[in-house]
Amino acid sequence: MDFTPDGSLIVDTALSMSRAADEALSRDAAELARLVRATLRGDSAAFECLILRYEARITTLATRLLGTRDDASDAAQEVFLRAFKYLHRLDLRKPVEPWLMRITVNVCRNAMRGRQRRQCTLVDMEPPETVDASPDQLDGLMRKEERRILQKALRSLPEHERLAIILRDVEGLSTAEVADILQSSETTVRSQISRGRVRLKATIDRLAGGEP
Amino acid sequence: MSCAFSQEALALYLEGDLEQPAAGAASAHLLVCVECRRYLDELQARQTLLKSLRRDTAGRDDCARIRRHVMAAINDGRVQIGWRLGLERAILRMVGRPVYAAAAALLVIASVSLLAHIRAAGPDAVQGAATFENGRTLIRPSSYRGWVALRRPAGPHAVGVTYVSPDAYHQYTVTGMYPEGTVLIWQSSDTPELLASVRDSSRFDGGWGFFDFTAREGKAPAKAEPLPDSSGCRTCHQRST
Repeated sequence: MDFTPDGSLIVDTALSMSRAADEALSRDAAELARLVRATLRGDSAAFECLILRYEARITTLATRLLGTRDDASDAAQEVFLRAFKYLHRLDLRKPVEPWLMRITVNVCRNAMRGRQRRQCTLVDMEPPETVDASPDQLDGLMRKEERRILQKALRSLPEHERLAIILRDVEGLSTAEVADILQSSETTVRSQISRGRVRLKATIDRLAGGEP
Repeated sequence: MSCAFSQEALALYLEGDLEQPAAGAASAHLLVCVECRRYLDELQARQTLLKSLRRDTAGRDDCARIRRHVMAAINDGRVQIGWRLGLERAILRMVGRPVYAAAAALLVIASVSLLAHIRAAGPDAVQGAATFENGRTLIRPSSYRGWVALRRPAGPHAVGVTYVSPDAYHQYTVTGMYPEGTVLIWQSSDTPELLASVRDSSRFDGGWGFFDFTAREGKAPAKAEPLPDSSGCRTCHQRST
């Protein structure tokens, strides 16, 4: 029998699961720390292992922020090169991913501003060409036209609202995590998210209604 | 939408981002307002659409290409850490905390910059600074014609060119004052007259010394003694400043 009358087995099981998760986390953190230290000692293969861990997340985020594969590819390269240069500043007591995402946001912001300077409007950019993880499921959820309108509406948002919406609603981060990455306060991020969602809905409604 | 309830509050309520007591007020309002319930449903539909973008991820080939480019740049030595970051890393090895290392490196860089600035402000640091022999005999700078030419008319020296070394001129543009050791050379355009003034507070009263390198018998002297006060140089220059 799995349960004792006082439920102690359930508690033990939950505790041991929690312990196992903690151990897995600490093993992962220890491995990360080893890779970072090896990189700082000059072992470039260790840095390649670090890239392998995060390349999909970073390249995906860059694609969502910049909208084109080529720009995202350039940005992702820049992110990892900056990470390599500033790796010694990484605080190993904190997770690596938000640090890399913060660099990604900064690199993409610069890229967006550069693009604006070249007078290339975001609205005219091509939609991102990314690999669809599950086309069959997606077909039922979202038609091609809906997708085009959504991308266009997203690109029409002001930069800070778009960043907050992408990080919170598309990346699925918490408000606190978004605030950390954008180096802003949670109150500011909440305000950007609320305005962004309202504006996004209005733009989608307008575009779906046939307006250009 | 005719209801005056905040759409932005509903947009936050949607994903649980609205804090209490505003969240409670929104819940209570939604119970009685059909229009806001419909708006929330529509927001929810847009939100579902937005979240479906999570299914899109970067392709493996793209990631592999990016990784290859990054590693090639690192292995070919095209990524230079630079001395500032190198210093930061060295300090980090000693102090163990990135934030302290960055602060210490900044402190070192600021100190080095300050020392360099102080040193540059000294008379020895000015390139083209006055060179003296036996204390007060000025050696005529040999390459003054390559210096910065100031074509501003200057009283009795209106017809001619004033030369100043690039280093002294740069410091003048930054600080508004010529640094110690500055040599200004004025060459007449229509006579052999060649005069110099030197800023050196340790040697000359009033901070400036005046010299005459005008050619005698076709050749400008290589060195000159400071002109006496009776020459009128000091009086005139002090009046003009």
